[in-house]
Parts: sequence; C-alpha cells; structure tokens
Amino acid sequence: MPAIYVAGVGCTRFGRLEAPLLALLDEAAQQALRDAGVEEPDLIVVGTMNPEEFTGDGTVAPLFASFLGKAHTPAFRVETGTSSGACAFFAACAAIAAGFARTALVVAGEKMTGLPTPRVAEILSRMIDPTERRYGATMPALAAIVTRAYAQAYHLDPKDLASIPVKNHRNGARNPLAHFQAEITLEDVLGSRLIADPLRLYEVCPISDGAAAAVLTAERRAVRVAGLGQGTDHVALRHRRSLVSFRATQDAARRAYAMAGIGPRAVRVAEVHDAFTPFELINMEDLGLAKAGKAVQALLKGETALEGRLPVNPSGGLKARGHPVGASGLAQIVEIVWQLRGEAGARQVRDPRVGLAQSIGGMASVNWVTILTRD
Amino acid sequence: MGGEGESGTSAPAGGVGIPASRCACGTVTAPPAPHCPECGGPMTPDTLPAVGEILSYTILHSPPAGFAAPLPIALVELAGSVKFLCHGHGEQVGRYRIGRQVAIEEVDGIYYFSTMTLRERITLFWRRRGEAEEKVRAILRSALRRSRRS
Repeated sequence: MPAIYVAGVGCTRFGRLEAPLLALLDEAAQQALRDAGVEEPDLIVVGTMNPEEFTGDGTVAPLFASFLGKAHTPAFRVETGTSSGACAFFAACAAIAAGFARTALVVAGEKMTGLPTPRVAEILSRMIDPTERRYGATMPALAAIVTRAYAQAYHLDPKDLASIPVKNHRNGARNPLAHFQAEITLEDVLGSRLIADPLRLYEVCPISDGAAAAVLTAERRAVRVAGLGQGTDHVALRHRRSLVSFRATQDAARRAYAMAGIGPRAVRVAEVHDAFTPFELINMEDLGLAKAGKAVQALLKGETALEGRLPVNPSGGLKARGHPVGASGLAQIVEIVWQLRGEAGARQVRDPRVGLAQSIGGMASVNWVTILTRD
Repeated sequence: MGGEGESGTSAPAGGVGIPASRCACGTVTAPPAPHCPECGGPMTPDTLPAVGEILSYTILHSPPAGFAAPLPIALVELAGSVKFLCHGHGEQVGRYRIGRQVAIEEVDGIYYFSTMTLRERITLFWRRRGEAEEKVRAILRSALRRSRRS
C-alpha cells in the first residue's frame, strides 16, 4: 500500500448530548479539517451503524456533505455494525491507495439516547443471528455466555474481571471527552446489578451519543497508517470454533501486522473494544499482546495501566469514554493519533511510536485492526 | 424419526431426536441448513440424540420484549459437535454448570434443556430398555402371526 498519513483528527464529547447527529458529525469534522489545515477534501466517507432507526436519517453521506457545505464532494457511507467507524477509516485509506482521492475526510458517529433503552437494545440485537435472536438473546446475553466460558477456561474470578472497568474508569477520569469521568472501585463493580449473569452493569458500556473524524492524505505527515486488517466470522455464536477467542480479531491482526511489517511486541499503546469489559482480555490475547489466558496477569500487575509497560484503553475505552456505536472504531484511532503526537494531556502514555486500535462489529463477526506509527 | 439418519450416530435416547443436517466436510448444524456454513457444500438431513452438554450459559435479567426475566439461555453441544442456543427452566438455575449433561426437547422450533439428576438418568435408561422390550415383543408378535399363517 502506498504511504497514507493522518493529517488531522477531531472528536466530540461523548455522552447523553442534546445535539442532533448531523451537528455531532459536523463538530468532529470541522475540528479534524482545522487540525489538518485542509479545506477541501476530495472524498467524504461516513461511518454509522443505524441512523435510519436511531434518528430517522437516511442517505447520511450526502445529507452530511450538504450540511457541511460540500454537496459537490464525492461522499458515501459504510456500515459494519459497531465497528463502522474503523470500516470508514479503511474505506478512505483504500480510496487513497487506489488513487481515487489524495485527501479524504472520514467521519463517524451515532446518536442513540433519543430512544428509550429497550428500543436501543432491540436495534442493537439486529446484529445477532436471527435463529439465536428467537431465544431472546441480546448482545449482553451472548457476551455473558462468552465471558463465563472464558473465565472458566482460565480460572478467573469475578474480582479479576472487575479490575478492568476500574482501570478504564480511572483513565476516563483523565479524559475530558469521556461519557464517564469518575473513578469507580471493585466494590462498585461487584455490587452493581446483574444484567446477564455473570456480567454486571459496570462491566457493560453505556448508550452514548458522539462523533469522531480524521483527515487522511497521501502527503507526508507525522502519523502514518502502517497496517490495516479485517476479519470476518460467523454471525451465529453456535457456528464458532472457540468461545474464548475471536477469530475475526486474530485474522484482522495477522493482516495488519503483515502490512506494517511489525509484530505485537512493537505496540506501545492500544485501544481495544471493551463494550463488555472482559472482552479487553480476550482482545489482548487475540492481538498477540498477551498469551492465551495470560492477559489477566498483565492487568493485575498494572502493565496495562497508564503508567504500565503496555497501556490499554488510555481513553477510558468504550466502557468509560462511551460507545456511540458508529463512532467508536474511529474514536479509538483518534485517541491513538493523540497519543502518538503527545497530545493526550493527563492520560498521555510515555512517548509511544507504535499504536494499535481494534474494533469489534456485532458479536465479533466483522472486526478491524489499525496500526499507526510516528516516523 | 431416525429413518433419515445416515451418519451411524446412535439412536436418540428418550425417543425424540434433534433434526440436523450434515456436510461431507464433517460439519453438522441444527436446525438443518441448506448450505454448510463452513464450506458452502450441500447438506443432508440427519437426526441426533437429544442429549448434550452445557458449553456456557447466562441468566438474562433484562430480556427483550416478549420474554420474562430471569431468562436462562445456554449454548449446548450435542454429541456430534452440533451447538445451539437453548432455553432452560428457571427453577433448575442452581444446577447449571459448564460441562453438565442435559436433555434437549424441541417445542415449536425452540430447543429447551433440562439438567438430569441420577433418578432422571435411570428413568431415561429404563425408557431405552422399554424401547428394546417393545421391539422384542413386536418380533414375537410377528413370529406368532407367521406361524398361524403357515
């Protein structure tokens, strides 16, 4: 792939916001364009999961281009469920690599809090295999089935797993854009109500609004897109080979590392998809950042904390930063760019040169890995 | 039931089997599917014994509309490596364990699992024996008829 650089990034505050979807996308996009010093991108790629149902907006790409005053700019929207933001980043890179554009604006977002929670849960459950949905399976239900299998396979107790949201809330408390900016304790997690046994409320990401944006260019800048990879797996949980790892992440990681010409040992900061916090450990293992069953040791030793050897989810992750579904995959990439440029403020990791973002679509059926480097 | 089984799997315990489909590559799915989810090849109908093992489970406390809480859902694996989601009985929740043997029943296209105590296992065994006795009796009856004809 020809060299592609991240020229600028932007991100709105995440949380329960008043602004409509287009205004959120606009805020992130304007920030990224200013940051990049670009006024007229050749292409706009939008990533959203389901604006048709969340807000009633259709054909969001031209709708947004027009809102931005760029109705003449080529624009399209992509969707891979909860990883749509990472998919949009990939699509823009592919367009630049193929020579269709030299500079692309990628923007991804979701507005979810306008609907009551049961309705949001119903829309999210469309990512589940129809046969399994007939059993009342929700995303938390399937995540709980995976979590129980993982915890049993590697002898983890509830306290081990509860350390993940405690760490991620600690990071979120240092992120002015995070949905939750308060620290929590192990007792808070273990005392919160059961959503889908063994998953408790504080182990499940919130429903959020928000948007993120990036400007990509073929011209040389500080942060380079070193590796991109995608992996697909059966939507149905019953067709999966393993319940304690996600093949879609493993495939995406292998492809991204091969393109970047580096291995997991080079990674110095990672943003991983912790919509259900036990997944943080599974993801680290699938990415090769820890051996199978050993990610918990890195967590409990503090290696994945902000000041550790390999900080994971310095932004607070999906758990504390929040999870506007379409936005998250791109918001992770924005965080990695800030970390590589040394602009992450109170949550800055010490001088990283290689960062990785991993995004999960659905119950890990369409996953992405993006590797960025500072040359 | 059982007549379509082409795989040589043992006769279903308890008398009711689970309709499934089998591919030449070894993949088995239930409910039956027209194409193999692994290789895309054609699948042939099969019937599997209605006994399996809990691979993992959850008790869902915030189920979607149309379902009552708490809702037990398990991923169960049958002998022959077919996996599917199953509903459980609320009053058996305390007995759920990963690796536990369960009996499967299908009602209106939905699978239900129940854990088996020692007494229930013995009942199941006797039912199988009952089947065998039934067969023996049938053989005797037909032999009797044949001797009368001759």
